[in-house]
Amino acid sequence: MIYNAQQLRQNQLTQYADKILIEDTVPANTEKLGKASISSLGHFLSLFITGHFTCSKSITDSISNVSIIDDGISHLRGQLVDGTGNRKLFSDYIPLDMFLSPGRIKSSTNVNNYATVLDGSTTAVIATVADKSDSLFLPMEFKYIFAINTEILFYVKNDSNTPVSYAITFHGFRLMDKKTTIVHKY
Amino acid sequence: MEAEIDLNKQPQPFFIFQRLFLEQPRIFYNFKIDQGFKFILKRLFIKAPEKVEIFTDNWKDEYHSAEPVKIEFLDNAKNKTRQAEPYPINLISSPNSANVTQYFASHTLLTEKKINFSASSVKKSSLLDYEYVNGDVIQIRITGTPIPPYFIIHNYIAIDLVLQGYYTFDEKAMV
Repeated sequence: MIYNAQQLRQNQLTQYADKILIEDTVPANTEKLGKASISSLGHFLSLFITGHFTCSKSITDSISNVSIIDDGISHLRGQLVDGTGNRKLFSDYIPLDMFLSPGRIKSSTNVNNYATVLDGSTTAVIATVADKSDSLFLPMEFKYIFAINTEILFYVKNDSNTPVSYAITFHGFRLMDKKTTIVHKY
Repeated sequence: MEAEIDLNKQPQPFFIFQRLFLEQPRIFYNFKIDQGFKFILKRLFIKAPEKVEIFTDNWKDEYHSAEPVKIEFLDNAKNKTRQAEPYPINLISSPNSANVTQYFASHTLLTEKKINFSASSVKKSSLLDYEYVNGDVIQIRITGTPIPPYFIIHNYIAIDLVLQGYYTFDEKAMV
């Protein structure tokens, strides 16, 4: 194969691998908009998405101790929107564990010492202790071009009684458009 | 061989989500494709509980599912069906029922279908690559066993369904 140095250099100047991260904490029983700017660097061609979230819940035992535990329940639902024209990319709010890998992770704010939390109480406060995190299995295919200067909007609802955090990453390429991007020449 | 998504045809990734309630042994779900587009269904992600927990203040009931839920793409409008018989969901998709528990929120919410699922993770799903033309309908039939009626209102299991695909430009539809 014969390479054209000028063409290769031109490609290198106008596209490179990039990742865009949205990371946020959603307050209890509410909805919050997480967003990321595509910026003026160039268009962003997304190829895959990955993400994780925590499963937190606040409980109060019979002697009024309040603890935030990892209850293993999927509390977050999200709606992904392309800021250009407010184009919805999901039909509805989707539970995050249905499309994100690795999915659930532990949170540093969680207490999982149940003997202390329950303190001898006979009240059945919590159902299960699901305490594992998963490793990355399946980056979800997501081929889409987010245009220059737009924003990726991710509306997330939290049905837990305590704040829950998440992060979602778009893996892809930055594509610079000659018409819209100034490529610096040194 | 996986059909490549052609970026020049302005594909729009579109995830269809529906929470279904299996109250009878057989339920149906239909989704109509928008006019002017084709829809390429790449993969299916489905989640059904293997265990159901019902709480009250004083006691807890558990139900363990005896058999996997099955899914079938009917697509009756076509001349031939997509599949010969229903697939058990754990053979074609994750998270399916692996370690999935369905919780009824509280006995005080008996009149609402308010439930929670334990968090699972998406690991693998077999490739479908089903193409639906402009105005077509995705028809799905799900069969399984609803839970025994501990409460009259709690005699169902919930099933989360995500269809991952792309809307693509359909030249024929734009005449």
